[in-house]
Amino acid sequence: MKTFAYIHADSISTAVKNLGKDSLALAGGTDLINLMKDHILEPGTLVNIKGIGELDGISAAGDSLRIGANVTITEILDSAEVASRFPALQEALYDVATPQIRNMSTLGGNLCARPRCWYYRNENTPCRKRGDSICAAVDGDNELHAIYGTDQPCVMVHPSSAAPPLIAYRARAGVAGKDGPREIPLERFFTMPSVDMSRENVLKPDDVLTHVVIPPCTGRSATYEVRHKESHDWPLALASVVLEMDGRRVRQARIVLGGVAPVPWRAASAEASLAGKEISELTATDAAARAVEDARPLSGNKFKVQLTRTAVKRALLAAATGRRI
Amino acid sequence: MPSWPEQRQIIGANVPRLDGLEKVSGQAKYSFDVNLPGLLHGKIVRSPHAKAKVVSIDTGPAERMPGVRAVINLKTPGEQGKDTVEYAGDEVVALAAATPELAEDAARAVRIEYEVLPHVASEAAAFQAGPPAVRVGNKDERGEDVDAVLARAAATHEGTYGCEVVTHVCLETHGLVAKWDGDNLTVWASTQAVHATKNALVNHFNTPNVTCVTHYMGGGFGSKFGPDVQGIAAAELARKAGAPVKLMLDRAEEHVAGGNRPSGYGKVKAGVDANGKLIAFDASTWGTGGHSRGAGFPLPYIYEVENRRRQHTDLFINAGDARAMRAPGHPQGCLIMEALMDDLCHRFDPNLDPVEFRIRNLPNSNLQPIWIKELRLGAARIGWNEKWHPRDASQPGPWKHGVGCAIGTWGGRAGSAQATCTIQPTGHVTVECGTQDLGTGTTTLVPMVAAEILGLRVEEVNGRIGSSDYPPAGGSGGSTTCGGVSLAVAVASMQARDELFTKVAPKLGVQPDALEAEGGRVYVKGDVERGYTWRQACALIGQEPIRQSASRNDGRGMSSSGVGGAQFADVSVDVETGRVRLNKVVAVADCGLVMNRLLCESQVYGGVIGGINYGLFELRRMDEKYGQHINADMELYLLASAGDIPEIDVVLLDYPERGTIGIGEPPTIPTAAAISNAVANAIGVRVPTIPITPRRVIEALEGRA
Amino acid sequence: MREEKHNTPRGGSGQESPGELSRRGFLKGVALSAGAAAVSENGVLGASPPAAQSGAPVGPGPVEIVLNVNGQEKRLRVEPRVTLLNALRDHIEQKANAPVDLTGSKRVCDRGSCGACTVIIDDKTVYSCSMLAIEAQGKKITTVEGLATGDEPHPVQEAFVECDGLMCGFCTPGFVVSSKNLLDRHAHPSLEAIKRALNGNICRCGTYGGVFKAVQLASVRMKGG
Repeated sequence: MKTFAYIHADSISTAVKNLGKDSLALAGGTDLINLMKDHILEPGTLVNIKGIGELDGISAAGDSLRIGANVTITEILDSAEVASRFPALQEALYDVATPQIRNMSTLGGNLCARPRCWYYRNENTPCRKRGDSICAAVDGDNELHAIYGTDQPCVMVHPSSAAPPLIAYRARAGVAGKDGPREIPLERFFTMPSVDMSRENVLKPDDVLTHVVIPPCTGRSATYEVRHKESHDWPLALASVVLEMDGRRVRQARIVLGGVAPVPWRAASAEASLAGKEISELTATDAAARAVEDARPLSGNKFKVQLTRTAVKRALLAAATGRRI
Repeated sequence: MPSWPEQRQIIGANVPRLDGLEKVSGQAKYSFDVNLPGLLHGKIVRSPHAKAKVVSIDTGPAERMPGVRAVINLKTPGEQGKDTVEYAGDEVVALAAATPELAEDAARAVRIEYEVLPHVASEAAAFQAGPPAVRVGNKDERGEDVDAVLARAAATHEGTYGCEVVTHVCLETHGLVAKWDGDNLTVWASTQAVHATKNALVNHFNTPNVTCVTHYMGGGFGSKFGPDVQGIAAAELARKAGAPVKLMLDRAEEHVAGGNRPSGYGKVKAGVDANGKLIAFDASTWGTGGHSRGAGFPLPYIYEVENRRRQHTDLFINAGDARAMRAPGHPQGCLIMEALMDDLCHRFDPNLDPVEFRIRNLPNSNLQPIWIKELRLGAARIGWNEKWHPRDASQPGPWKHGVGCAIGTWGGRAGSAQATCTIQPTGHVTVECGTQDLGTGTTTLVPMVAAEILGLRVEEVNGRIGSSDYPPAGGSGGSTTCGGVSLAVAVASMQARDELFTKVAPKLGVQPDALEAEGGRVYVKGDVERGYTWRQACALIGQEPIRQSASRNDGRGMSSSGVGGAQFADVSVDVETGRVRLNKVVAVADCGLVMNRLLCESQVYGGVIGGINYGLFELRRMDEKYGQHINADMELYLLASAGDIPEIDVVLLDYPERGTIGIGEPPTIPTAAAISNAVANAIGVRVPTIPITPRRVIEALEGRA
Repeated sequence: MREEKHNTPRGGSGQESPGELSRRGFLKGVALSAGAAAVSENGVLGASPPAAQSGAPVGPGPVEIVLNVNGQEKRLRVEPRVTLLNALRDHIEQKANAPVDLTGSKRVCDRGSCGACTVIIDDKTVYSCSMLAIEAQGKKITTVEGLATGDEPHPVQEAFVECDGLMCGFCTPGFVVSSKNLLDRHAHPSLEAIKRALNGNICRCGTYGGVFKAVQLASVRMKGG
C-alpha cells in the first residue's frame, strides 16, 4: 500500500471539502483497503467518513425508510423494519460475503463497490478501467463476467447485492457534494462503462453518497441468488423482484438483476410480460425466458444465462407465493 | 524383536493435542510470529512477466530509501541460465527493511528491465506450441494387443476426465526468520523437515553451525521441505544487514511460488468381459507441473488390467513449479480411474451396482478383503441400498439426488527417525526427536508413545521435537512420520526402561525381565505391591541419567505399509443452477494400529475436506494471454467454508497387528472421485473435470462439456 | 538479556517445547507480558485519540495513535497505512525494539477473505487486516490473547482442545474469536447458526467438524453461567 495522508471527517461538509481527484472516502474499507494493497487505487489522501453521524441510522421518513450510507450490512439485517417491509433487501444481503465483512462494510460501500474482475485487480494485466486500451476479459477468462451489455468496452459485473432489490423497491439515493445535497433514483445512480470508464456511478470525486430512501412497498417481493458456494462467495446471478398486485394479478412487476451486467440490470420485457397475469410456474418460466432474451454471453459464461433464468423464475415464484426455495 | 504392548492404555485412546492450549490462546509462536529485537522484514521482487530475460537490475532507488538495510539480486543479467524468469512471480531481487510497509515500498522502487519472451500458460497452449513444452513419454504396453481385446469386449467405455492444477494454500505461508550470531545461523522456518532445511543451509553457507527450529507450523501439505529461494535469501539478507530478517511470502506469492499439484487428464478407454471383469485399458494422459516439473500419476489405479497401454505426456508451461501435494498423483489417478469405472459399469449394465462392480474387479492383494469390508461398511452407512439408483431414473423437481463411491490406497511406511529417551534420577523423562508437527499431532504422539512404554501418564513425559538440534528424523512427507517417529520413540523408551529395570531388579531380588512398568509403578509382574513408585525406582539409577537412543530400524515389525480406504458421497444437484450440495460423506479408513484416535479421526476428516475442495471448489486460473495466475487470493480461489461442510462420517478400522501406518494422505484421495460419481448418479451425465462448478454442471447437462 | 528472552521464541535444545504451556499451567505467559505492558504505560488511559481531529490531515509519515487492546491502552507510532493487524503483530511497542508481540491474530490472506486475523471490536467480529490501525482508535479491541480470564481459558478455548477443533492451528485464533463472539450473542446456537457465524473463517487442514462440536460443547458448559 502506498502511503497517504489521513483525514478524519465528522461532518459531510468536512468530507466534501476534502474529497477530490486524489482523495478517496473510507467507510467500511473492506474493498478500498484491498484495492490500495494491490496498488489498483493509490489515493494521496483518505477521508474517513465513518464518524459522520448524518450517515448513520435506519429511520422512518414519513412512510419511507431512510438508511444511512454508513449503516452496516449487519445493521440492515438486524432491522425488523427491513425484514418485514423489504424482504427482498434482507434476502439479498443475508449471505453477502462473511459475518466479519457484514459487520464492517456499509450500505454505501456495497453500492459503490468496485468490480471484482480479476483483471481489474491484477496490475500485470491490462484493464480499461485502469486506463489501458484493452479489456483482458473479453478474450480471457470471463466466466464470472457480464452476460448483458457485453458490447460495452468493459465487461465487468456490478458486484452490489443491495442495488437490485433497492432499485426494484424504487429507492432513491441521497448525494451530497459541493453544490449541496440532492436525491436521485437509485436506478439512475449507476452508469455504464461507456459513460465514464473510471467510475461505476454518477458520483463526482467530491461527492458523498449519504443515504438511501425506500418508499413504502405495497407489493410482494423477493430475491433469489445463485452462488457457487453456500456463502462467502459472489453472486453468479441474482434477481430481485417486486410485484404490485391487483388481487391475484400482477399490476406492475419490477425485476432487477445483479451479478450479470456492468450495472444492476432491469429486465424490462420480462416485467411487461407479467402485467395482468397471475404468477404461476408457467408465467414465471415465460418471464424468465424473456429476461434473458437480450443476454449476449461471452466465450466462457453462457451458463450464466441459465442461472439468470432460474433466478428470475424462482424470485417471481417466491415473491408470489411467499415460499422460499 | 520389540513389539507394541498387547494391553495399551494410551495408544489408541483419545488424547487431546498437548499444544492445543497454546494454539487456541494465540500464544503459539509460529515462524511467522517470531519477533526479535531489531528484526527486519524481507520482501522479494518478482517478475511480472511469464517468460523474459532480465536485461538489467537497478536496485539503487530501493537502497537509498529510508529503512532499507540490505538488497541482493537473485537473477544475474547477462549470465546464461541465471538471467531468465520462467513464470510470472519468479524471484529477481530480495531486500530487507525496517517494517513490512517499507520493504514493500522498496520492492516497488527496484527498476528491472526485461526482454519479454513468448510464453505458454495452459495445457492447450503447450500442445499447440509443441516441444519443448510437450514431452511425450514412452508407451507402456502390457499383455495382449489392447485394441484387439477392446474389440471383443462385452462392453467398453471411452471418456476424458481430469483434475485442474490446485495449490497447497498453506495458511502459514512459506518462509523463515534468519538470525546470525557470528558464524552460527538460527532459522525459525515453516517447514516439514527441520533437518533437511538445516542441511540445505549448511551446504549453502558452508557452515556447520545451523539450527532450524519449527515448534509450530501452519500447514505444508507436501510443499515445505527446504529453505527454498526465499529462505536462503532471508539468511543472505540477514548476514548482509547484520540483523535478523523475517521473510514470509504473502498470499499471492504463496499461490504462484509456493508449489502446486499438477493437473492430470486422461483420455481413457476400457472394456469388460461378459462377467464385468476388466480386460483391457487404454489411456493417453497428460498434465502440467509448471515450467520444469512433470505431472505423473498412477493409472490404472488400484484395479489391475492385464492388457493395457498408457502413454503419458508432460506439459511445461510458464507457471510456478509443482511440488508434492498430499498423496502426490493419487487424487488424479483415482478421479480418472473411478469415474471411468462408474461410467463403464453403467455402459455394461445400467442396473449393476457400482459397489459390486468394484468388488468384482479388486486386485487379488492383501488389501482386497480390507477394501471389501470398507465398501460394504461405507455403503451401509451412506444408505446405499436405499439411495443408489440406475442413472436414467427420472427424479421430479430441479434437485436431483445421487450417491457415489471411490476407493484409494497409499503406502504410509515408517520414515527414517531417531529418538533419544532420557530418564533422570529424579524421575523426569525427556524424549527428543528431530521431527516436526505439521498439525498432524506429532507433538502429542511423542510423549504418548513414551508414556505407554514407561507406564506413565502422557503429561509426565516431556517430548521435544521441532528442532534440528534433536536426533535426526526425516521430512514429514508420504505419511511416514507417525510410523517412523513412534517406532524410534518406542524402542528408545523400551531400552531406557529396560536399563532402569536392571537397576531396580537387584533391589527386588528378581531378574530385570521379571519387571513391569505400569500405572506409575515399577514392579514384579503379577504383583503390583512388590515394587516401587516411578520416582522411587528412578532414585535407584544413580548419578548419571539413563540415556537411550534408537532409530526406526530398531522397531522393525512394529509398522507396515499399504492402506486402503473407501469413501461415499451423497449429493443433491440443482440442474437449473448447476449447484452441487453435499449432504453427507462417509470415509472408511484403515491405518493399522491407531495411535491417537481423536487426532487420527481429525486427519481423516481433514483429508475428506481437502477432497471436497478439489472436487467442488478450487482451481488455479491461469490467463493464457498474459501468463498470469489471476485468482491468487482466497476470495476467487474458492475453498469450502463452514456452510459448505456436510455431515462427515469417519470410520476407522482397527488392524493393530499391522503396526503403525501413516494416515495423513490416504483419506484425501477418493473424496473428489466419490463426489464426481455421486453427481453423475444424480444427473445422469458425467461432469468430466473437477472441480465440479455450476458452469461445468450446466455445460455437461447441455452436452457442451 | 531479559528482553531477548521475553521476545525470543523458544529455540534450540534444552529449551521448552510445544505442549509445555499446557503442562505448567495455562497462560502464565500472558499474565507476564500483560503485567509488563501495564507497568510501562502510565497516564495514557482514557486519553483521547491524538489523531482524530476532524478535518486535520495527518501522515503520511508515522502518527502517534492510541489503541485499546484487551483492556489496555497502547500508544504507538504508525503510518496511517498500517493496518490494525500489522500494528498488533509488528508495530505495537512499549519501547523501541520490544514489541508486545500480539501475534495471535494471523496474517494469512491479508485481503479480508480468510478470517485468521479476526478480532472483536465493540462486540462485533472484524477482519483486522481490512482496517487501518488509525481508525481503530477509541474502540475496544479484543484479540485472541484477550479471551482468557486471568489464568482461566475461555470455555470455548478449552472445548476447541477437547474436541480437536484444530490441527496446524494457524486459522484457530480466528475461529476461536468468531466462536466466542457467537456465544456472546447466542448462548445456544443451532448447528446451522454455528456454521453461519463461522462462514468468514477458512481452515485448510479441515477441522470444521471439531470446531462445530467445540462450539456446541462450550455452549452447554456456559449454560450454568
